Amino acid sequence: MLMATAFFRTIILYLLLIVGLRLTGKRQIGELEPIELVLTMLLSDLASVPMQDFDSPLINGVVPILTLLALTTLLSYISFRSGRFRSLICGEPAIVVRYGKLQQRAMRHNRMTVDELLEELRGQGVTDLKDVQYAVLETSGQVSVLLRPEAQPVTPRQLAMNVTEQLLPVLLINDGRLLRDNMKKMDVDDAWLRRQLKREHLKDPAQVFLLSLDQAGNVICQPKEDA
Amino acid sequence: MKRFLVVPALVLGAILALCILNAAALNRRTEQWTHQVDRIASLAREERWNEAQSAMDALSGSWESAQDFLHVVIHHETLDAAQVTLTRCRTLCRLEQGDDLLPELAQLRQQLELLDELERLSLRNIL
Repeated sequence: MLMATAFFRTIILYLLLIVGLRLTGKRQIGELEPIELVLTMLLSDLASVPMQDFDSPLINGVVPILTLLALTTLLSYISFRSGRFRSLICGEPAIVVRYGKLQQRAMRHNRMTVDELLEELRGQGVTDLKDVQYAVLETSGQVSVLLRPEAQPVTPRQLAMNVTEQLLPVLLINDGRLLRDNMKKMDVDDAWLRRQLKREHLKDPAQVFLLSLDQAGNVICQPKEDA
Repeated sequence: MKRFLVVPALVLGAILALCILNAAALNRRTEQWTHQVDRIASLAREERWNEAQSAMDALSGSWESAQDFLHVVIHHETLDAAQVTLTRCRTLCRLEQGDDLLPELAQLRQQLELLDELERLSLRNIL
């Protein structure tokens, strides 16, 4: 396989694989978009051949890889600019359950069996099909579920409850390592840290397995087991 | 955002240009080598061995000087096969064995043409 041949063969095979994957339906894809899956499949194989075959010039591996990366970037750009192109390459989400009723045509079109759909629903904690208002097979192959209002979990807002806001804790010590950038972000200094350590009867950050602080000033400190 | 269009388009363009330049460079070299092989064959037929050996040395020198380039773009097994035939031709030319040399030169010519054909931008190669 030589340079120009490799270049054009890569383009042909890449486009062929994308079309092939689109035709086989979304269930084959998994969690990646068709473009990403094709790229992953091809790159891993292309990279391994020149690594092992010392008779083959390295350029025969480099040309297809560069071609693939450039093509993928190009297709991503065109998909970003054109919705029609994106739906052509990646497909469109399909409603497979509408108000508890299976949409058989959409399922057939996407080669999705009842077993697979029920498995996906169970994975999301849904055991009764009647509870589902919409189940959508996304272009990535995952199923998104919208439950009927009466089957949705109660939220604090529906109960008119006052709840305290949960704040994201920031890690200041990770397995004995002091994270000075995070300390700066949280606006705390060494004196503050010494006070926290003293409260836990510790002397050195190296004795701490985890120490975190949130915006409300809540500190979680866990010493190392052997400290 | 435009860079996501410009950069891959440039990369694809550069690769295509490289392929065309590479095919042209290889075509130029293999044409030169096949001419030299033809000349050696005609000199061998006329039994002008001194001139044939000089032409063979020139061919070997030119072949050797292109080895770095050839090893970057062509499968090494193909090159090794041509190298073996060339070495055999040199020995036969030195021994002035015209009957054995002429078929070997024909084989060398074919192997050199194959190098060019492999790199040629053609539908037959792609498909």
